[in-house]
Amino acid sequence: MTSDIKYLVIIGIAVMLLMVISILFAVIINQRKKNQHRTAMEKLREQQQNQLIEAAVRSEEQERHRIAETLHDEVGAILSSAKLHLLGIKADVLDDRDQKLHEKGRELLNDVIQKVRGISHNLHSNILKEFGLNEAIRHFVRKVTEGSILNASTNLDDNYATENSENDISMYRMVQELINNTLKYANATEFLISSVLTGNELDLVIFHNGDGLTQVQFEELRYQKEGLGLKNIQNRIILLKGSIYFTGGDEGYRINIHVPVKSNQ
Amino acid sequence: MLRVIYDWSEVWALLIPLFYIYKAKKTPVYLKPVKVFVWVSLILNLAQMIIWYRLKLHLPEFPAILQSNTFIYNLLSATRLITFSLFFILLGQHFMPRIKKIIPFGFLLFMIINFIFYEQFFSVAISSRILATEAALLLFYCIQYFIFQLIESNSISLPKQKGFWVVIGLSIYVAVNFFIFLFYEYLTDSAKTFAVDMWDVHNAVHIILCIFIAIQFNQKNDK
Repeated sequence: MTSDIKYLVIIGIAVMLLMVISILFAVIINQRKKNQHRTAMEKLREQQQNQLIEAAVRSEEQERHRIAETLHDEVGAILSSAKLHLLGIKADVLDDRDQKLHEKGRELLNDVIQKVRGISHNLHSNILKEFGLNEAIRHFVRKVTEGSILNASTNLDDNYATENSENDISMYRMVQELINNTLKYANATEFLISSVLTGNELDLVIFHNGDGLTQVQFEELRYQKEGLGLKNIQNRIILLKGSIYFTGGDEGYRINIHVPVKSNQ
Repeated sequence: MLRVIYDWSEVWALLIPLFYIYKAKKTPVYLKPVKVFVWVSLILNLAQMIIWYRLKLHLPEFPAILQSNTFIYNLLSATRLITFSLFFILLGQHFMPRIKKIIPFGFLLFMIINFIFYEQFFSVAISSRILATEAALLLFYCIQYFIFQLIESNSISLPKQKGFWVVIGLSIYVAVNFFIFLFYEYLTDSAKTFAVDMWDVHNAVHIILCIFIAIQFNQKNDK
């Protein structure tokens, strides 16, 4: 009887321990499965979010192209036709007052044609497609700083060759937005945009000596209603699987854009 | 000497969690009952060991009711069940909440009835009935904790779950001790050596429980 009880105690302890271990094992396995499921769901959610961002960015780009084409082909054509008609008027038969008005009208019309062409080229990424990212940035910097007090320069790595034109458009749009913001808000007198290609990674740096943004300010602003441009930049960064970092110091402000450039097509 | 150290493990093992309790700056609410358990256990175990070692310690003769230390195990049993019940209730798992609240009252009622009608509180033998019931109830608490983890919990990391290490330690303690407690009264009468061996096993899992409590207090807990 006593030895039976002894066996019972020992077997009982073993069974109870086994039970606890089994339950613990089941909990661990279950937790692992839950975590795997959670990771898969997060990945899917991220994928869907990226697809949405991509769709938004692409549709924005298509819309820009449509507007650019309409401006160039339709508004531009009408304005050119109007200019032709205006030039068709014999100015020498007009009196002095009308001659001046004719001349002023011609100047204004030329201005409008130039502006429409400029906007159309800005919206359309012709230079980007034909000459690549570096040339498009150089051209854009030249154009926007022309006649301003801003001393702008570029130092871009010519080893960079387009791998994915869609990605180039995104990088170009980001640079456009950041340069425009600098011109609008920073009151800078010095401006430098440089790039370095390391392996499959491109680092773009925008530096200026005005009042810029820090990373904290960027994070705050991009969630505000007015921060649409910054939100677009962030979306494009997500799309490119890159990163952007804003830093500021005594000598100036710096925006570092890091983008993997390997084709993902 | 080793024998003495091992006998006193019921006291010194509690110093391990106490060290981490002292080190931890803030104790989350759900761990406060465990903290109480450690302190009360230390005092009670110290008392029961002094009674047990009174001759070797050359202490003066104790009153008749303090000739045996077994009544302290009854107090320890009640302390363990009440403090750990409170611990499981304060974990805030919405799983069998009513049962969890009823158990400590039910157990105290059971203890009172048992010692009034069936057993003597100051008996010379450990009450297998009380200790085994307590172990079974604590095992129920541990199992319901794990079932909750299986069904409801969405936490990413299991070890970071509230009270996880305490429950692991307690599960091992009660799973091993249930059968020891259940047959201890019988074994002390009919197989004393085996009973002593089994009590050594009890002491070993008590050390394990203390280590797991220490791990819990060493963790950065969420309030």
